[in-house]
Amino acid sequence: MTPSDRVELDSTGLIVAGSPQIHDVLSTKKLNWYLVIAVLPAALWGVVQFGLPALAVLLTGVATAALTEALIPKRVGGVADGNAVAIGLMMSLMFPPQAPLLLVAVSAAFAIVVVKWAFGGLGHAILNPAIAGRVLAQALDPQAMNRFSLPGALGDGAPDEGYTAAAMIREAAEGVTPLERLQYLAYPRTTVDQSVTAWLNGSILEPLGVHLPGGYIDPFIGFAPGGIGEVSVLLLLVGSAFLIGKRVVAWHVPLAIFIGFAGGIATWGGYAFGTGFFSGDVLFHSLHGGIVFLMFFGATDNTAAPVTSGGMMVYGVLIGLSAALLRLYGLYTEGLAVAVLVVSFFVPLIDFFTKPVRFGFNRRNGEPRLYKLRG
Amino acid sequence: MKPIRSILKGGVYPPDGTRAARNQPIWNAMIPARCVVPLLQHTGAPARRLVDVGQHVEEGTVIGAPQGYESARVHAPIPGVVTEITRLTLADGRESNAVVIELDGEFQQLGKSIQPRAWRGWKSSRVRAAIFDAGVVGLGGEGTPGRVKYSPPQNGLLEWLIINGCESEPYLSNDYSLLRERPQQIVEAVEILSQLLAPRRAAIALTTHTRAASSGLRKAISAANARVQLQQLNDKYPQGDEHTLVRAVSGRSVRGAAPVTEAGCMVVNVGTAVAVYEAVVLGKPLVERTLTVSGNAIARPANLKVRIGASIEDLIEECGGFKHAPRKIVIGGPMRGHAVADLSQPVTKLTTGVLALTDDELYAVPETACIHCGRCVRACPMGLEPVLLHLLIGQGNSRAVKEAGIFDCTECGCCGFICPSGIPLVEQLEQAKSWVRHEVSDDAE
Repeated sequence: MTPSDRVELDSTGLIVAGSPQIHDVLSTKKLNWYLVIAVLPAALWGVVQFGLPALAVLLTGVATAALTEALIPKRVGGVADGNAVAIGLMMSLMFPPQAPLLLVAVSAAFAIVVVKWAFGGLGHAILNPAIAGRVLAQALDPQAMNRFSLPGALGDGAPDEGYTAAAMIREAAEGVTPLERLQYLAYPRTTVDQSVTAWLNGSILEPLGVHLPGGYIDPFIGFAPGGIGEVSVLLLLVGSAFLIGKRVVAWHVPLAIFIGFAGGIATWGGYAFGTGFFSGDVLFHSLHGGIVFLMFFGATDNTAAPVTSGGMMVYGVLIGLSAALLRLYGLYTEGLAVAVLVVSFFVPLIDFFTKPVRFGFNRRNGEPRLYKLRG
Repeated sequence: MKPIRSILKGGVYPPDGTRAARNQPIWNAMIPARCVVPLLQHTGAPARRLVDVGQHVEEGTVIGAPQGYESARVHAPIPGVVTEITRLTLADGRESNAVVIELDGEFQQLGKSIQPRAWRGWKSSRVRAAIFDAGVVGLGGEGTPGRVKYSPPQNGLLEWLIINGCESEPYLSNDYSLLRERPQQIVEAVEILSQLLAPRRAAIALTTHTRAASSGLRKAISAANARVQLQQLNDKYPQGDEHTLVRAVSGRSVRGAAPVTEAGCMVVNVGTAVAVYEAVVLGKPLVERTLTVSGNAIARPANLKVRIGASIEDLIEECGGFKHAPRKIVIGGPMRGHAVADLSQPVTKLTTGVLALTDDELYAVPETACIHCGRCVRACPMGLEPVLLHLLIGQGNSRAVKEAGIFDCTECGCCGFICPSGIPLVEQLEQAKSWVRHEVSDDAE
């Protein structure tokens, strides 16, 4: 090394602080912005599929949330920490593409002002603001919130009331599966679905003795009606791989939701169709109606979830089960956000019962461990 | 070697900045021309000064005598003249008198070969006296005086004697360099301590990082026919802490507030083992130690053998100075070490490393509100809930803070490291301890 490479010490710039002296790469700000980045592919897909109305909904949601956040007089926080943007974006991604913009704006403002700040701002909300905003919208205008248009690839994009696959299961009929019901109603399928299904069956599944009926590939890729950001399961999975890789989201909650949801659907899902218990179509329900969005983006909010791994598992399973029951027996098949909201109220209880076992204490009686030493 | 055990609950994976210094051999640092030797280099009471200004000292002259039971001897690291008695604030915040020695005269021990002493068959009291006379303290950074550590009531009660080769913190590789270069001495130290303390079993614990030292250790063990096993552990921080280490090796766990001797275990750091060897076999006082100089800002990170009392400025100079502007100078490791603004700080028996960290290593996060994410709860190896403690401390509820287990906190730094809101949790907990102790004094912990 030549002497010119040497840097002299500028002691005025030195930080003197308590331990630990280094910090993890993640900060609250990064948590929020990573969330926004992770959901962007799915959001973009929604905009491409549903066109300008969807874009208008997203922009309204984000802009209202950011503006409200900026206007609230406060000592801490601000738009730059990304929280308000994340809330606005997550909430509006759960809206139908043709949702009235006023409804979007009111819900976003409600999420920020009432759910987030009335409880003390970042970190103090007892509910996930985005979820609460979505549920409010459903309560204010249930009709608009259940009118889903077809994506561009499937039709002309005009709203058609109740025209989502998940809604079809309400028209239950004896001995008819949800998918058969859709076929009967001439639910559109893309050529992509046909060719991918045929290829999968031909080269992978049939040698294994399984047959995949048509109609599952479309919602996986994102050719299905639904909330703007909820339709492309594939892109949501890509985004969530990023989130888990960056440690923004722990795997516990998504996995537990899936376990609860799949268990619930498998148990009760086929009952309405006369096929008895344990005959539900888990794949169908997982691909339609936004459960994947909920798993990774809706329910993983740091503030509302329990703090221990065990608690997160309990929380997730409860959300999954309630989502399954809401899907099957609730008022609205698309309103899975309600499940998160309901379980959020139990979080203090879950936290209480899943306290970590302290090091050096007995799990059973909570007493410190004592060892008899030989003398 | 036994298979890897990986039962550490909680913990974090801090970036390991040791790569640069990791495989470097131990360098003998230049003998400093001036040593500042604090009289407090251990837990307990400072040593009583035995020399005055103007007095001539030899290498290894006792300049501080222990005061009380928990204290340790301090020796002159270099021959010379005492020029000054100063008072300074140590990196850990304690104040201490220090003896300043200017180099003069001849070295009595440096470079001379010493005939090993036949310690086998010595009485316990003689072994203990040798350790005590050499001023051996815990060199892992904790600084427990040897007299306290290796005395009854531990005698005969020990289930496990564990040599900690886990490298207690990221960035540091001084223990690893000793494991690599001095396996025979470490194994002999195990034999000495085994004779002294009669543990039922002895183990040298390594992590995946220090695994490469295992072949040398195994050779040394079979050559000495020593009764000690190697145990490999996973590399999660704080695996090298006493409590988590004891749990991983012996399966026993006692609460953070209790010493691990309550589980019938004793943990001895690798550097301390070498010091014990030198004290007993060579009769050498503890006047030098091995430490790591590392961090992005250091031109040539290295493991150095350094005289006590050398300034950290000398060490940084020895390693080529700074190649980037440092943002933090840390004495110790990155998780528990102390940041200093003053490069004149001397090396003490407790100095495990000197780090010069740049901005892109710190990831300093401005403090924002707690988002209740629970990362601290999942990171706490003691099973505490820092998020709850933070809340209770804010409310001023000292009794509830105590109930929540604040005294089991070992200040390992995991919660503060992981907190995305940048809350200085460790500082808060540290301060709260004395406050709670004061408020809830009626039932002592």
